[in-house]
This record gives sequence, C-alpha cells and structure tokens, in this order.
Amino acid sequence: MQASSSEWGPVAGAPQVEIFPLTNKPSIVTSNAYILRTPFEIIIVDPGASAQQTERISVAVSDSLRERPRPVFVVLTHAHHDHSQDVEKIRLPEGTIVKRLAHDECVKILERGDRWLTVAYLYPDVEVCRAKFDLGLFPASETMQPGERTVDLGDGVSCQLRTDVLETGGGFQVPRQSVQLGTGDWLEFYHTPGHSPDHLSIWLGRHLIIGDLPFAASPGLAGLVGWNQGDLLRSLRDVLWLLDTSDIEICHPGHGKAFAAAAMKKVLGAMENDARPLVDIAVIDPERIQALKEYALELLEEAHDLFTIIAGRLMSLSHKLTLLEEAQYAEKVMASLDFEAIDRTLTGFRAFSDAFRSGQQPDLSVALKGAQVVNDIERVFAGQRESPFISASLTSRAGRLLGDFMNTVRGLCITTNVEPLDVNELVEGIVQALTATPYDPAEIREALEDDAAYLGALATRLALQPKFHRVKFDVGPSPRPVAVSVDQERVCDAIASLLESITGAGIKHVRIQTRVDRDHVEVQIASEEPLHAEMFGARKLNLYDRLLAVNSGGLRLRDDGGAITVNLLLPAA
Amino acid sequence: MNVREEKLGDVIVLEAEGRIDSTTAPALGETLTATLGAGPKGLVLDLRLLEYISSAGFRILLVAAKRAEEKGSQFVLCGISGKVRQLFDLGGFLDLFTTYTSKEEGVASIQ
Repeated sequence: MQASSSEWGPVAGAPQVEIFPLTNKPSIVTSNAYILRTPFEIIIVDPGASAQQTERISVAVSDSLRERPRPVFVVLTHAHHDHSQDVEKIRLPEGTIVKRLAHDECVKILERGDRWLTVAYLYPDVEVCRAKFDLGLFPASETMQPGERTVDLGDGVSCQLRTDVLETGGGFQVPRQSVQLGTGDWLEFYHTPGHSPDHLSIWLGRHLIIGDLPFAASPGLAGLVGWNQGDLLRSLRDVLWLLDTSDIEICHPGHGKAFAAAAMKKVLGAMENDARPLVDIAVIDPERIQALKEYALELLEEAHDLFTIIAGRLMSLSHKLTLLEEAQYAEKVMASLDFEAIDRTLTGFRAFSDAFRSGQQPDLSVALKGAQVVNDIERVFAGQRESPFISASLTSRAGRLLGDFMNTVRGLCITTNVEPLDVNELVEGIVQALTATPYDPAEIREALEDDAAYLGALATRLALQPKFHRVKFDVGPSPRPVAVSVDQERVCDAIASLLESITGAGIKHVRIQTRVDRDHVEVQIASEEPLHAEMFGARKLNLYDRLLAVNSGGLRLRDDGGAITVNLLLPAA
Repeated sequence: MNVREEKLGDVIVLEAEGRIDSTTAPALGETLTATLGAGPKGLVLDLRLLEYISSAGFRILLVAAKRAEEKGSQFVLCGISGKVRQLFDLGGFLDLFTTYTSKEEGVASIQ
C-alpha cells in the first residue's frame, strides 16, 4: 500500500471546512480515508484497514483536537472490511467524544459481525469490526417523511437531521438525509446501493465522497456478496443526475485518486455500460475466489507463452526482412507492437504473484490483478488484431483466452459455440488448419508492379510460414465416425497450444488418434519420441482442462508404462 | 555480380555469380527481360555460384517468371544451396519457382 502525501486543503463551497484526503494506490487491502475539519467538529470518513493509515488519521485528528477540542464523527460509506476495519482503532486524546454514523443496514451488518456483507470472507484471518454506531441513516423501519429533527447522540452531542426527497427530471425520486454541521453547512447523504446494500455517497460544498460506486461493475468486484445489478444501475443514474445538475466539482472515490466531476461522469457512464450485461452473475464466494486465483495464474502463464510466440514471430520477421535488405520495413514492423509494454505488464503480474505467495494479499487480489493485466494487454494488443504479420489463428486464440478469463472474472458464463461434429473430421481439420499456409501464395506475384504492395506481400509471406511445417503428423487410423459435442475453436486452441509445447521441445513426429471411451471420446496425442509432463507445465494442462470442462470435456496425461500420452476428453454428442 | 550466358539448343542458361541485391538486381532484371524477349524455349538461371539474394533479387526473379509465362517460355532455377537456399526458405520462395538441383537437370526438363 502506498499512501499519498496529504495535507489539509479547503473544501470549495464550504468556506469553514477543510479536507485531509488519505489516498492509496487502488487495492482491496484498504480504502482511502477522508478527514473533514470544521471549527466545531471533525468527521472521519472510512478509516480503512491499514495500520499505517490509521496512525496518520490518529496523528492528524489528535493534532487538530489539541489545537481545539471538539467532537469527532466517524462516518462509513459502507460496511466493507477495507473501509471499516479500523473504526475502533483510531487513537484520540482521552476524553474525546466520538460518534459514529452510517447507513442503518451498515450499522446492523457490523453489529452482527457479518463476514459476508463486510466481505471479510475475502481476507484470511481478519476480525470483523463490531463497533457500535450512534445513528443509522435511511432506516428501513421508518418511512422517510420529509422534515427536520434534532437527534440526541448521547454525551451531550446532538445533530440536526433533515430528510427530504429530490425529484429528478426523469421523474425519479432520490431520498436524501442531511446532517447539519456546526458551520451551518449540511453534510448530505445519498443511499447509493449496488456495490453493497448499505452504500452511501456524501456531498459537502462542491465535493462528493462517492465511495466504491466507480468500481462497482469492475471484474472481480461485481458479484461480491451484497452486490445488486438493479440497485447499482439506479444508483449510477441518480449520481449521474446529481453530477449533471449540481455544482459538484470534485469526486473522492473509496480507492485511488480524486476525479474532477466531468471525468467522474465519464467513469460512471462507462460503468453503466459495463453493468448492464451483468445479469444473474455468479456470486464471488470463497470457492469461486480460489478457482479465479488458479485460473488467473494459469492464464497469465499461457498469455506469457502466447505473446512470446507473437513477439518472436515479429522479431523473426524483422530479422528476415533485414537479411533481405529491407531494414527500414523491418523497423516499421517492430514498431507496430509495443513489446516492452506487454512484457512490462506480464512481468508486473509475475512480481505480483510472487508477492502474493508470500501471503501479503487476499486471494481475490490475484484475480483482480489478473483482470487488470488482461485489460492492459488488450489495450496494447488492440491495434494488432488485424495485423497482416500475425497469424489470425494466434490473435483469435489470444482474444479467446483473454476474453474467456474476463467473462469468468465478471461472473458471466464463457460463451462457446458448441456443435455436433465427427471427431475424426474435427482432428483432421485441426491438423490441416495448423499445417496450412496461412496466406495467399499468389499474392506476391500480383504485387510485383508496385513497391509497397510487393513489400507488404513479401513481409506477409515471411511472417506467416506455417509453424508446424517441419513436423510430421500421423492422424488416425480413424475408427467409425463418432459425434462429439464441442466448440471447435476451443478444442483447436488446446491442441495448438499442446503441439507448440511438444514441437518446441524438439519432437518432429506426432501421432494423433481418436478413441471411444465409456463416457467420452478421447483425442490422444502421442509420439514415437518420449513425451514428458514437463514439456507442458502443470498450469497449461490445468488451464486447458478448465477450458475444455466448460463443455463437459477435460484434459488428462496418461502414463502407459513410461510413454506419456496427452488425452483430450470430449463429450459424445 | 557476374552473369555468364550459355546457349544449349533452344535453352539459354544464365549463370549468376556473387550477390543479387538492390544494387545488382536492376542489371540482372534487364538481362533476364532481354533474354526472355527473344522468346527462347526456356531459360535456366543457375544460382550455384550465388552468395546472396535480397528482396529486390526475389522480385526480379518473380518478374522474370511472370514474363516467361506470358511469352510461353519456361523459366527454371537450379543450383540453389547453402546460404542462398536458407534465404529461399525464409519465405517459402522455392514454392514459387520450378527448381532443379543441377543445370543439366534444368536444361533436360525443358528439352
């Protein structure tokens, strides 16, 4: 966790109020914290869950209290562990009166020490904060009658609480509760559920503390226990309306740096688009977190291999062009893909997963980091999908690999195109596709009159030489036609990846046979030369087992007396 | 680069020695065009003594193959070996030409 250097600054629109933001690099370990200071009170929003941050809060608030004693209010945007853990751990001078406010549901969640709705289940061995709160906002048991009343919070502290309902232009109603500060300013609370049922956004002056709403549709966060798509879409609509119709200038999120209101509108607009397809998504429970973590580790290893192949191909093309006196064009080819950015991203993930193994991060953070890495790769790789120098089979395989992972992290099903096929035709087709010449052989002859066209055709030819052309494949002998129910592209992806590992280890002769088992149809990959499990790596085998399992298939290594075969299990149609 | 011409019946054999690169390719291109312009039955380009061929070199060979086709002549390559063969392999260029191991085989294939 990295805390930013913070200091007290003015709150535009509330001249007697100052704000002390404590912001962190986004992570699920701790939230940002915000301290608001008036001559009459100090308000700590979301203390967070980091000893370092809590110490900084304690020092900043204690220093202010020594200058001028006043009550301290602790406010939570929601009960999630990374926001609430340290509510009771802030050290303040003796005799300081502390009052706590949150959504009524948040109060109850913490009272009962709910590990699910605090999402404490994400973190190994943490205690749920069970602090007692003095005021629960938006209570379900009470009708939200507009009006104003004085609420006695005990210890001689009371507050003025106003309830009203805002009418939006679109005919929607947005309930609001506001607490008056000693300065006369109103601290306005909006119930913005979706990320969690108890989520609040807090408006003061021209500042909006928006909690985790900007991340609520993010892969790996959408689907947390308590997440709700319908609520989220309504909250996004309400907050976007608020940003459109108010003088709010700056938004403080629960994680990461502040956004100008205009930038936040873009973020929330994008979030709306991301949230819409998230219908009936899988809940992120401990079992799924474990599976996502494994999947992320497998995927990133495979992505590393795949992008190494792609980079290797382009480097090889560049080398070939240089050999043929086309160094200028070679440079252009090399500049077309930001290898360093992809390498940096994948290396960053490797460093992160190493740090994870040392036990510093919750399991879910591996999946979140994986999703972030995939997004980064997608961005760098976006312009390459149509590159004439990278075989379409490689780019579409990379696309499926990354897309399947992102769908899984989002809690969506992997979309497959399952159809009944004869397994022998399937295997023959795959081998043919893998060994075919992936360019038009006549193209270069048609391009001789034009310099640019000739160079383009030459480069395509140099780049796309069939990758298995030095490998001998024996397919069959085929038994009778056997129908299997599979997604052809995904079976092809698995076989291509396995064959890359096999041929990469120097095997020149591969035998592929099909066999009907009791429950499955098996595609068996073997060789006269010995195959070893180490040629593939456990993560690759697990990854393709996982992906084939989406369509009731699987992947097994079989050791028949020292000779290993790789068996793809495909469901019979 | 040196080019030696030999006539064996209806077949013309050109032996290229040295490098076909962006500097030498135009001259070889002109020689091939002129030779094919006379409408021989066949043209054998012997690359036994060739040390190097660049992209410009492949282009003039492809142009020659196309011109031969238009003229109804046969255009074959022979003697591709060693490093030059590796350069042909880079882009699968051997698939684009009719090739023979030796000049004699090349000539015999035409006659």
